[in-house]
Amino acid sequence: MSDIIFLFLRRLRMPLGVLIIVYSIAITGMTLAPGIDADGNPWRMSFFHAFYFVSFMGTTIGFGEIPHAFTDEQRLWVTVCVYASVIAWLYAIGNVLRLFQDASFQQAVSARTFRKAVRRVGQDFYVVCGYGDTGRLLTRGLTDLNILAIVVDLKSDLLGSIELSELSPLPITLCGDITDPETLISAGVNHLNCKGVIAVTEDEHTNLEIAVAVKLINAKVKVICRSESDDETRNMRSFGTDHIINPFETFANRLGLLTHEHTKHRLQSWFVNQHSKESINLEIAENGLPSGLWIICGYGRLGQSIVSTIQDKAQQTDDTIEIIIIDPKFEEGTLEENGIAYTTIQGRGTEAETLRLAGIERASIVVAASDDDANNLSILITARDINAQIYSIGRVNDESKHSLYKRVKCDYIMRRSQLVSNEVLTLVSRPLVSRFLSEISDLDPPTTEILIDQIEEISTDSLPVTWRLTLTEEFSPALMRIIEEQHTLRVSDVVESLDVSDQTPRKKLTELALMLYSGDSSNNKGISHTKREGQRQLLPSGDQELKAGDQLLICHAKGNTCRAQKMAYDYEKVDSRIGGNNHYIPLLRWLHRRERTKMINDAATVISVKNEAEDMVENSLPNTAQDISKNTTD
Amino acid sequence: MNLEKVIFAFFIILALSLNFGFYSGDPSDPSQHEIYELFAALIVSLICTIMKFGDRTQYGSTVLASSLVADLHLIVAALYWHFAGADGGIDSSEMGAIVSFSAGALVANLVSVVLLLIETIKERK
Repeated sequence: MSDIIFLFLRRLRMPLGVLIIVYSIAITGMTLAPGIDADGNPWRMSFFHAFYFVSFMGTTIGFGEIPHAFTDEQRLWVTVCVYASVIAWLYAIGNVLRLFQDASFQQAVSARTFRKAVRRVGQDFYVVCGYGDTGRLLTRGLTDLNILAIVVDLKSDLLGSIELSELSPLPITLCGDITDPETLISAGVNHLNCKGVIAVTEDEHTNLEIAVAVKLINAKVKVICRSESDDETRNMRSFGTDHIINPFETFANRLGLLTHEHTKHRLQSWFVNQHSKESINLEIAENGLPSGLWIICGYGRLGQSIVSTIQDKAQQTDDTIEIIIIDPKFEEGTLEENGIAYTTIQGRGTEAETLRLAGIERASIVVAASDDDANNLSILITARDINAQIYSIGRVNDESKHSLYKRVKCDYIMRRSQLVSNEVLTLVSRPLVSRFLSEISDLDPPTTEILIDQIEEISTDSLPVTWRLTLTEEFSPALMRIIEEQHTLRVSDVVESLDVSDQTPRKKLTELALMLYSGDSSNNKGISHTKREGQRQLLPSGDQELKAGDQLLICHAKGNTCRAQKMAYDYEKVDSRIGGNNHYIPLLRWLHRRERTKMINDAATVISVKNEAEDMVENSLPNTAQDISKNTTD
Repeated sequence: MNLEKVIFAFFIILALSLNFGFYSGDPSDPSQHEIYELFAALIVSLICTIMKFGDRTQYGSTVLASSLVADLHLIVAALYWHFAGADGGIDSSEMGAIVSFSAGALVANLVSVVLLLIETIKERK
């Protein structure tokens, strides 16, 4: 606030000074000018009356409330004063108006409104740096998840579109330089509810700067960054950036999965692309990409990632894959990379000759990976013309052009911003899903097949939905009581699970335990449990035991509430399903429960007495105070 | 030498001297206190206030505050003069009140000048 006032006062010094001087001259003149009252006696205006008169004259209000008619001397002076005061006022008002339009003043006002809005935030939020294509998708996705987004960008015209959008909760926006630590702080990096900062600006280096600054200001805040080069990625990782998303590598990995383990690609695409769907040919999504000849046009960051990933996977799985690279910067010949020679052809791949030279007729896949949309589209059209059976993969550079790629019937379209925003949103809203997806590479193909069948059965036509059960006092008090009462809580108590070895047809599943994650849950408040640091178990079996602090990822159908979700807070339900309390009459239920609690307590005392006896044997000098405290706690 | 600084110091010292000029004399004798001098002291004090706007240092804010105090005293004195004098002139007790208000303004103006001098001496060093 003080910023604005000081700026205002500083700018108004001159106009206010002029006004005061003009007024004082006018007032003095009015008191000096000789006048005559109604009876013809000489009369002079007092200072108070002169100030009153000049006030309404100068502002051109002109009440005309004058005690006596003016003499000519007075009229002469008033004429002079009228012009002087009107000019002084115009000057002052002009200055005020100019100040309001002043960029630095507006900046000060908007920065203040922003700071105030951020300080008042009472819900969890993420700071999104950069409102380009990715930023826009992210903001929309976060809002859909009912998470507040605080958006900072250099360009105010981009941010203006947020105000027009009908997002709720409405993102808070600031037009400013996010690399400035002050801006980061005012964007709420130190705020209690700040869950993380997402750096998705156009510029790699800016993202890096943001990541460093955030980690230095508040190391607890999660930082998610987009990075498109290995160099920057390594740099970011070196100081503990939590998640780094490289769209080229991510896409190359997906292609790798599609060629060699397309079932896993399907799992990934189900769970990651829940916010906006990938543009992929259904046939490829179900059957994967064939092996054979790949023609890769453009050997930039994407081309390199694809070549190395495909080649690595091919070596692991002994698939026969041949890669030919077309790029203007190559000579005809071969390229040695990691000990493997690739055939290279000079050119863009937009002309039929180059493509023919690469053997487009016998190729099974063509990738248009250059950084120019017109060239990419041309490659895709030409390739399709020569070889109608070919699968085409295209890279969209300018997001607004992606519909053109659909028109050329590109089979798999890489949209960078969509890729990044889906990955980020998964990390933000379903961290356990991200962990699950990083684990699935260990699954063997038959299990994956069974898993896919089951998930398909559960989700019936729509995308499968996941829910996370967290075993803590805060999120599942009813289930926690069971654990505290020394009952063993098994996976089968809360959710159905998949038994891979069981080949017999089973009843239709409505939900499925995907992964058990045990370990450092940040929400365990004072619950003593044996810490199993960061253990993950895919597809836990039904008799697996659940401990306090565990997290269970459950897949269920869209629109359904899964059993665990219902049980998390419902003591009665937990009591009857797990505790075996099946009476219908509330009184009987209560009696049953009391009896059981008593039994458990008795058992606990027996155990503790036993322990005490052992203690006594071990420590020949029993500590009486300790004994008393033990008895009371029991 | 800096013209802006000359003007600044000029007005601050002028405010003090005008104020003192009005204050000096027998407090109960209306003929020894000139109304135009009070008016001039008020106007100069207001101009001083405006000149002190927008300085965010500790010195700047203290000087601005002292100037505001002086304004307040002088405005009250001027209003008192008008309303007390409305029933046919100022008597000696009313004059005493007006002069004591101006004495309060005098102290505030003195503070301003002292601060200005301190600042000047500091810059010398």
